[in-house]
Order: sequence, then C-alpha cells, then structure tokens
Amino acid sequence: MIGILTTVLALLFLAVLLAWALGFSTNRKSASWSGSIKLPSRLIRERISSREDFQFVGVEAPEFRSQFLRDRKILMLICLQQMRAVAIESFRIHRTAVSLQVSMKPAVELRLAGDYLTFLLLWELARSLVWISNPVAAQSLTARVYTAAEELSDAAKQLIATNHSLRTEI
Amino acid sequence: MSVRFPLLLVSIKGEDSQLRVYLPWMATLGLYGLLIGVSLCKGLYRRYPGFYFYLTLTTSLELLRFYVYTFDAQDYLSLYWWTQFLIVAAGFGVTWEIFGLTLRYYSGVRRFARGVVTFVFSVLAVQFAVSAVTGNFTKSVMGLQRNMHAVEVTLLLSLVMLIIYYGILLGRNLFGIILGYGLYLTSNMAMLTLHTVLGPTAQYWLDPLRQGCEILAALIWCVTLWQVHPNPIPDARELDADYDVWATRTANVFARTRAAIMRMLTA
Repeated sequence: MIGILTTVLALLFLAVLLAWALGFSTNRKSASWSGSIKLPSRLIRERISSREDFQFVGVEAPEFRSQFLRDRKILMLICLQQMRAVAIESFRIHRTAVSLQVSMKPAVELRLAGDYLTFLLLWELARSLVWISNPVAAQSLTARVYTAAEELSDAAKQLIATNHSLRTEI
Repeated sequence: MSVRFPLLLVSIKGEDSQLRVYLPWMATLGLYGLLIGVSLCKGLYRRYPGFYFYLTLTTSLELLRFYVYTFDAQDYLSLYWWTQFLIVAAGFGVTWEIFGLTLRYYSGVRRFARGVVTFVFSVLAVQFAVSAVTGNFTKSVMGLQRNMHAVEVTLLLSLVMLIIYYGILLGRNLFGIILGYGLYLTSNMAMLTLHTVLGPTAQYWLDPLRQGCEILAALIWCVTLWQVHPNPIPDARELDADYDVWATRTANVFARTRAAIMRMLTA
C-alpha cells in the first residue's frame, strides 16, 4: 500500500516539476487587468441574438437558415470562451494581489479555489450543452449565455476597480 | 548525497561491477566538489547556507564512506545507516530553507507552510527515536528514510503548486535547487520503494537509474548555480491591501457567474 502511494506521489511530483520547469519564467504578471479580454458590446450581442434577423433570413432566404443558426451557435461558443477567459483573468488578478498580503486567510483561499473549480465545471457543462444541442435549441440559450457573460463582466469590472483604487491609495 | 545500498555493494566482486559503482560515484562527488568550489568563489554559500551545508556534509560523508568501502568494507554497513540519518535530517534543513526563501515576501503563506514543516518533522523525529530504541535500527532507518523522502516530496509538491498557483517569482538559483533536489528526492524515494517491492535483485538495474538521476540533479545545480541569480522582489505596491475586500469581491464574481450559468442551464 505504501509502495503504491509513494510511486503515485513520485510520478505526480515529477509531472508537476516538469510542467513547472517548462513554464518557468522570472517575470511576474501584475495584479492588474491586461485589457486584452473584452466581451462583445451589448448592441452587437443583441443584434446577433435578435429574433428579427432569424425571421428575416427564414422568410427571405430559407436555404441559409440552418447555416445562419450554425453560425450563431459558433458565436455563442466564442462568447462562452470569452466569459471563461474573463473569469480566469479575474481570479489570476485576485491570486496575484493577495499572495503578498500578511492578512491572507488560507481557509478563505481554499473556499475561493473551490468556487473557481465549480465555475470551471459548470462552464464545461454549459459548453457541452451548447455544443451537443442542435442550432435551434442552441439559439434559445443565446440570450442566457450573454446575460451570464454580462454578469461576469460587471463583477470583474468591480474587482478591477477595487484593485485600481487600492493601488492608488498605496 | 548518493545512497549506496551496502547489501549490494558488499556482494559486488567483478572488476566491471566495481567500475560500474565507482565511476558514477566519483562523477557525482566531482560535481559536488565543483559546486562547493563555485559557491565559495561566488558567495552563493552565504545566500543558500542550508543547501551548501547539506552538500558539504554529503560530500564529506560520501568521501568517508568511499574510504571505508574501499579499505574496510566490513564496517561499511553500520557506517552507511548512521551517516544516512544525518544526510536525511540535513535534507529537511534544505526543504526548510527552500520554503523560507521562496515565500520570503509572501508572509501569510510562509507562516502557514513553516508550521506544517515543523509539525511533520517533529512527528518523524519522535517516530525515529521510538524505532531506534525498540526496533531493528537498520531496518527502521530504511523505512524511515523512504517515509522522510515521501514527506519532503509532499512538502515540495505543495510548495511547487503554491508557486504555480500564486505566480510566485523565483530566481534561477532557487529554481535550480528545487528542481534538482526534487529530482534527487523522487529518484531515491522511487528506488527505495522498488527495492522493497522487487527485492535486492532489482538493485542491479535500479542503481544505475538512480545514479543517473543524481548526476542529472548535480548537473542542474551546476547550470543554475554557476552565477548568482537572486529571487526577484515583487512590486512593492502590491504589498499591502485589504484582503477581506479582495476576497469578498472575488467571491461575488464567482457567485454571480455561477448563478448566471445555473439560470442558463435550467432554462
């Protein structure tokens, strides 16, 4: 039993060491927003998911309707990916900022790590759902995906604002 | 630092086998000597006293073992196990130093991690004392050595994960110490485990494998500890902030996002 445990431990440690060594860098990312990740504006999102366009294509060019829906599904998947990128960046900012703080609480950090993992699992579930659904069903999810992305974006902005004000005070 | 299994070494008779034992042994000792020499020239000894004390102790004891093995092989067995405990104990000093230097500017994590190291070491010291008094010392020290390596590997694994998770900055020197020492520990732990499972006959092919890992670790140290590369100091503006505000905001981000995704999924 101990033999199995130590072997697993050795393999795990070697894998982590290798991954760390390959990505090793002496530059630290700062606790500020990189600005490279942006969600599409409300106007664009509303236009993409509008029923009017769908009805228009259905009436004027029914042969393009399925292609139109497929394209919308792809756009929704892109939106989901951006949403994930925003969450990952938000959490990276959090980790970078709190890692130097004396008052950091390991219990709170563990809880946040759990929240983060839950988010990633839910995100994978949502992505799979969109991916396996047919374009018509996926279209009904569009508005919900955009709302969720917007929620995250707003919350992330608050986090960035906190960081900015704290840095300014210091 | 080399772990010589006395049971095997004493049984070696042929000249080829002797060469197979002596060459990697001498190569490792030569690299350690080189490392110590470079550290004295470049002042690395002062920056990483725990690591270089360990390296010096190991090199000295290995030379002693080498002498005893060559000229007085009968005493090698007892000498090996007694000196091995010193080496393993000094190894914990290296782990302690690695933790201290890595988390030097990361106060909260450092306090927590040092507490864990102290607790684990105390438990193992008690275990060793009990087994030394009541049990077969040679047998217990072999199991103890594997367990201590396992504990060190666990601690270093936790540290490396913390480094990745929090984006902790390291200089090249400390990076090399952790990488080489981690490789050395893992190879020794795996060898002790396989030796226990497969028996002494496996030693014939296990030993070169482990020796290769030791030489690789020494080479990593030679490359990364050739010049002084101190740990970068993080941005001073990030040193203080209200942690509770941060934690609450981040928790809100995830709570809102989770709720939004749940609404999406249940729609």
